[in-house]
Amino acid sequence: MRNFLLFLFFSANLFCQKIDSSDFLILEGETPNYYYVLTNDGYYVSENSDNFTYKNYSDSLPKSLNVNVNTLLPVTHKSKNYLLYPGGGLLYLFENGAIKRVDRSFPHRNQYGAYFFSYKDDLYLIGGYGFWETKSIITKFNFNSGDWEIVTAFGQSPDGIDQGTFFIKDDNLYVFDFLTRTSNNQKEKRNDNLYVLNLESFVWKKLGVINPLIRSENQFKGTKRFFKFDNKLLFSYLDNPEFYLADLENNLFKKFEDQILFYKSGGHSVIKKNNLIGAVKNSLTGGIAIESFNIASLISNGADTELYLYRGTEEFYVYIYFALSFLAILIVVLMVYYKRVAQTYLLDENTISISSVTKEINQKEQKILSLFSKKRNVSNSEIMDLFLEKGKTKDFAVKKKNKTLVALNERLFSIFKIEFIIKKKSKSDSRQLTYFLNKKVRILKEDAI
Amino acid sequence: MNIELILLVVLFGVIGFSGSYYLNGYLYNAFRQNKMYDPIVSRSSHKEKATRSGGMALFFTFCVCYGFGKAVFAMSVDLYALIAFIFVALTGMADDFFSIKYREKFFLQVFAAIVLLQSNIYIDSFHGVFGIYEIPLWASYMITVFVFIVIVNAFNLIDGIDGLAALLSVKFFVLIAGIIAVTSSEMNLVIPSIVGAITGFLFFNFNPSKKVFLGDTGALLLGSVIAFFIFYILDKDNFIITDPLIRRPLLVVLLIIYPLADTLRASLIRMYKGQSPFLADRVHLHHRLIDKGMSHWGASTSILIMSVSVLALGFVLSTYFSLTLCCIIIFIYLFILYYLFFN
Repeated sequence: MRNFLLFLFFSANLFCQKIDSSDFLILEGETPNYYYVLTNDGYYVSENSDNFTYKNYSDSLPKSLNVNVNTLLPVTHKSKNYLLYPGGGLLYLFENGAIKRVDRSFPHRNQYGAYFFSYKDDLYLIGGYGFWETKSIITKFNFNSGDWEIVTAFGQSPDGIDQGTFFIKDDNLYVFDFLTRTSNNQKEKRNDNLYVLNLESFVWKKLGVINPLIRSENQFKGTKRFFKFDNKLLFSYLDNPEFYLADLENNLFKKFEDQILFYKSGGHSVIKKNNLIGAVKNSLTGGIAIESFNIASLISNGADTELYLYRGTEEFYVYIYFALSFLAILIVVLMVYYKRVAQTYLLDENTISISSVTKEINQKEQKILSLFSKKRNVSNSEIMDLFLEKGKTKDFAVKKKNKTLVALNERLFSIFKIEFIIKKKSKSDSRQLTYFLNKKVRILKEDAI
Repeated sequence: MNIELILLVVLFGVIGFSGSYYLNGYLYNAFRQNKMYDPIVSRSSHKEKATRSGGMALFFTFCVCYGFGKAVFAMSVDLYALIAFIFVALTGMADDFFSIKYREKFFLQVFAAIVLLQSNIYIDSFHGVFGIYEIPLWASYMITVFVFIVIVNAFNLIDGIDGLAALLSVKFFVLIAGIIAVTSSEMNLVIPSIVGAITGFLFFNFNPSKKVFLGDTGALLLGSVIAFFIFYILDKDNFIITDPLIRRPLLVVLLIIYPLADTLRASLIRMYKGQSPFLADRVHLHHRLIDKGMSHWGASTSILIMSVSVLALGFVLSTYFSLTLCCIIIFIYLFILYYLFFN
């Protein structure tokens, strides 16, 4: 099917009108003309996309225009076609069949590969490459003085914008996929972020990281094209027949592939209404033809799944809230757990300890605490068994027990700041005493671990 | 993030947690039966009997999670990075069991770093620090090896009190998960596994009756994985979502600010005293908190909260100020924290 379409396309090409020169520039024409094709010797003008007629320039080209016309940067400003000399500086106007110089400047040679655009009443040139560095400067043409002025910008400005993809919507200029080289000994590096410049306040802002699916494998100068179409950005790379239609406001893009559009948009091309006007080199005759291609039908037919254009910082902030919440929950859970296990005292033959705090105890105290390591409430009789001695009265044992328990509690409190053993009367029989281990305390014998 | 991914993240978090919890208990009992307790010396901050089995439990949990993730889902980490992690973990195990000399351990770490370089993830740009962007390959390799050694040992050195190294690692992984989720779909599930495993370990680390330490295995392993992710961020070829918010070098320094600051401070103090910078002693900041009467839990969580606050400050400042000004303000903030809490 694809070969068949290509066959039809190239067959149709045989009957198209041809341009002799390969150095030409397509310009949007003012109403009613559809477009112009400028060459070094003359120009073609078309009433529609199918027919065009050749005309000579009504005046000779300016002497300063010593480069091929296809190297000029065109822009339509107030229905007039302006042409900028490569690198900036010299500005020409194509009007009434002639190219006239309108500036009083000089070849700047400072902004090769810059983006030349019109906004409201002014013409701007942004970024570019010159004198071994990429630039992020913005220059504005002063129609009164005929010279260029530097516009001061603020905010998160990129270090340099060479060969970027640009898009203007409302008062914002979006730029991404550009190269940066800040000094002579550096290689150019690709900037992966989407930036936006407010053209009213001239404040830069980084919006986020571009979707990695949008990436040319072999990006080099002059290998991409981008157009404004239906308030969206249509762009592609010369090494790939994939096209991207980006909706920057809604952070979405669609990807589709079209071989014919790929060929037609390969050279100089512009978009007028729903058509792409492109230059196509015929592989059979070697001639170059100007053809139109209806994009609207292609996009509506080839609708693909929409993906995010850039990962915005807002999404990252949402994740950060989640991450911080997770950390907070983890700390709370661990704190509850720690509070529960933290009052676990380790009992060995001579000491009771917790963390780095250790208290020495005698044999009797060790035996009392051992009872509490097995169960939390110990009856008076069980403790009394530890103090009963042959030849000694029970009263002596009671006094010794009470004295030992009080002394033990006081000593432990002085170190650990918590009362270990609490004495309580039995609810059923008030004469019966029971000793309880404080609820916050847990005693573990070393040999039980 | 879609629902399927959230469910997978939860699944791997649960697998990591339960695997680690079980293995920590199992290995603790195995070590206890063989009387393999961590010796209590004058530098020790604990008096309980504890085993150094936590690192091994973490390592085996990672292996289980990775095996499961690789087999069932599209989970993948570069092979050379995995080899480096395993090598570092084995070095740690050897140190835990036989106490190998520092010089030998150093050379083994250098070897692991060289293996890690084969993954083609390394520091190849300064991202504008000192006006430098891309750096020559030989310099990239040398700096990457050096940074690897520093990070791995910094995490080993802060593993002096309960929960500190583990909590700071959890903080690092939880915060970096957002970046990895955007930039690498293959490594999406690695981080929940790690966080789950560390969380399972923490329940033993804070338990005085079944106390388990990370040991060199755990500290070196966590340090090497953290170093890998730091190289991932600093590798210019990777997409990093935080680029519009904060410079990459500042981000990575803030993510591991405590281990770096503490190691730098301890080394400077030792050198000032004419001692070896690698000497084991109690000059660390966390030891100061313990000596001031704080519990291990209190000291660890305080340091965690402080390090999160430094990171948050870095993010906020980066939005408004240049890198240099951010560094100056953060430096002042660190000094204030030092005088308020550690002095």
